[in-house]
Amino acid sequence: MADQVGATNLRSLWRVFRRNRMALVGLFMLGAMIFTAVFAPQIAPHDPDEVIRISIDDIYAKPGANHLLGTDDAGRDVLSNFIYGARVSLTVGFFAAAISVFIGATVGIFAGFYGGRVENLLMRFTDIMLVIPDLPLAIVLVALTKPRLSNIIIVIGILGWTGTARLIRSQTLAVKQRKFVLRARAIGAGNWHIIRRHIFPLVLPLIVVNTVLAISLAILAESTLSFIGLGDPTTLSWGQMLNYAFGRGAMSSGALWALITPGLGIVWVVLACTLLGQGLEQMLNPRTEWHHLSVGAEMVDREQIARHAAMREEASLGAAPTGSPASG
Amino acid sequence: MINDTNIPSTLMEVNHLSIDYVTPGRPPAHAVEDVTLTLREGEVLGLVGESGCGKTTLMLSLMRLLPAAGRIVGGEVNFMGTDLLNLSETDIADVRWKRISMIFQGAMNALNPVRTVGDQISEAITQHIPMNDKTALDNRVGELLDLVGIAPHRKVEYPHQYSGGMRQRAMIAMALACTPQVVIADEPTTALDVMIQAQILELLQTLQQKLGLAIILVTHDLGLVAEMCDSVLVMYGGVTAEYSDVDTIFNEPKHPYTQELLKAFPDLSNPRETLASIPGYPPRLDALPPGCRFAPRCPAVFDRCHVEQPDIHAVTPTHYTSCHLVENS
Repeated sequence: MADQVGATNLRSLWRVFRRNRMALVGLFMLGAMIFTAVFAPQIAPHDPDEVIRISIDDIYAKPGANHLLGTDDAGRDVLSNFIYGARVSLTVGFFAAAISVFIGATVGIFAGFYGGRVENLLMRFTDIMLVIPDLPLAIVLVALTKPRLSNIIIVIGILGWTGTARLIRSQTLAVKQRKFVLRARAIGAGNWHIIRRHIFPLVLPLIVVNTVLAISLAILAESTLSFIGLGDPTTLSWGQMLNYAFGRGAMSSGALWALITPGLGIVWVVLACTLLGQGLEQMLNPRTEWHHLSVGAEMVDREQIARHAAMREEASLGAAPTGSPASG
Repeated sequence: MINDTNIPSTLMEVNHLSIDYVTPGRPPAHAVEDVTLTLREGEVLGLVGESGCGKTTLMLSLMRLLPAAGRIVGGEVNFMGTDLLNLSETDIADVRWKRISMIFQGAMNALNPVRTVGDQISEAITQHIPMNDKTALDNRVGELLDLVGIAPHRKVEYPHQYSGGMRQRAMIAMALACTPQVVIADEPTTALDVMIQAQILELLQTLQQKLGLAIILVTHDLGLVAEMCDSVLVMYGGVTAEYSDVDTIFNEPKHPYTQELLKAFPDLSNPRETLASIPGYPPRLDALPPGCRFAPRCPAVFDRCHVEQPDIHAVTPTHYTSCHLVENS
């Protein structure tokens, strides 16, 4: 059960984790990309900032020995750009997700725990944020502020918390009703103590799952903003690589490598986060079927049950003529 | 605040306590009405009645722990000279557990599943006694677990690693953590099998004698009441049916409900006798009968019962009952 997974220590958590193939694949994919980003200077064949002299042949050059994935419109190595771009995308993903989950979890826990007017105020505010279309608002906000990386992170962070807030609120409502919260109040504990020691640990698994899923959403949002030209011009993210390739004739010159590489990077990370998030959710949420004791639907042998029922019915039909009150 | 030096022999007096549950747009449900009881030091008071008759509501109100819809609409809870209903939120938090603690119905739910048992017991201690010394705190937790017959080294385990009976005993250890004067045991043996029940009750009884606790025992089990309690409060539909010492309740019950209740209890000396049951159902709190709440099911009902709610009458100075029959005789 969720409670017990949360209760056990890290090692037994890993034991449960190991059995979930989906989560393992996700973790591996995300880990590989993080590794690439961290060791970008060691891995990348070229420094993206190096001064290069290019000729016409270097623009959209085909993949070859010197440029494994070809070059882009400025003659830069696509593979190196891709590797350094992972840094930007992952940074935005992690920090924006942290901001949005922090806001969402705080709003959700307070709304759920205090109820009444506090809840009404917070959740109506959440509803308002929810109905405003994210992308146009993000475009306006980024355009109004400077398109710096930090601004993009903040904008994505403060626009993406509504779903988390609703989810955490509902979980808080459920946890709040449990008897140990009443017991905590009975020992003389105050609201803050109860939130910290009794509500939060039981909401935490949901927060973890949400963070992982929020990372993928944030990376997508960053790519979208960069693709439409609102990225930080001083850094090169995957979205920007797409933007340049798309806007500067990669398609017409048949330089698919300049388009596909950053696109695959985005798909890779988003898929990794989704797999990891869903795997974690299966592990931590008792309402999904996965359980180390049950084999799901196979546990109930419906055929056998039906056979027995039929046998019983036959027996009772045979007994009917001797005067059972039910048959009359 | 509560005065330690001058302890009267009466610990707690509940006077004319009434509790409503309010739902917006509907008339309030009178869950408890005009309940009066006295708890002396070291006394075991049994509180019996059917499910939904207000037992738990009454107990929660003593610690001011009613759910959001609950309202205390009348009366007072006098605990060692202080009216608990008038205390501020911080003052009542001080009384909780240190003076009055509670063993909850269903211990599996009253323990937080993601924290160790020892951690939760020390949580109860540190709420009231600041303990900076980690070893002293650890020792105290071990001592408490030992008191209820759990090996102290198991304090690092989680509730799911305990059996049902152990969890209940851990709850008792937790209830004793701050050496309270009153322990409210709300159906402490529900959902446990008879052997574990006997163990738990024996434990409660020993601890009660050893520590001089006053216990309020909420239960459905009349046998348990006969065995453990000094006095009994029988509740029906939120009101006191009968309140007296245990011998009087069992030997000379005056209220028809108590009489019927005792008849519905198996008699070991006469095993062939058919068990009686009280026909009908307890009243719904939002649709109470106009007169006596027991009237629709009462075998001795007469006209007056349907129109007038009986007052609480004293049969003797220690025996109270709310029935028109008593007034007439």
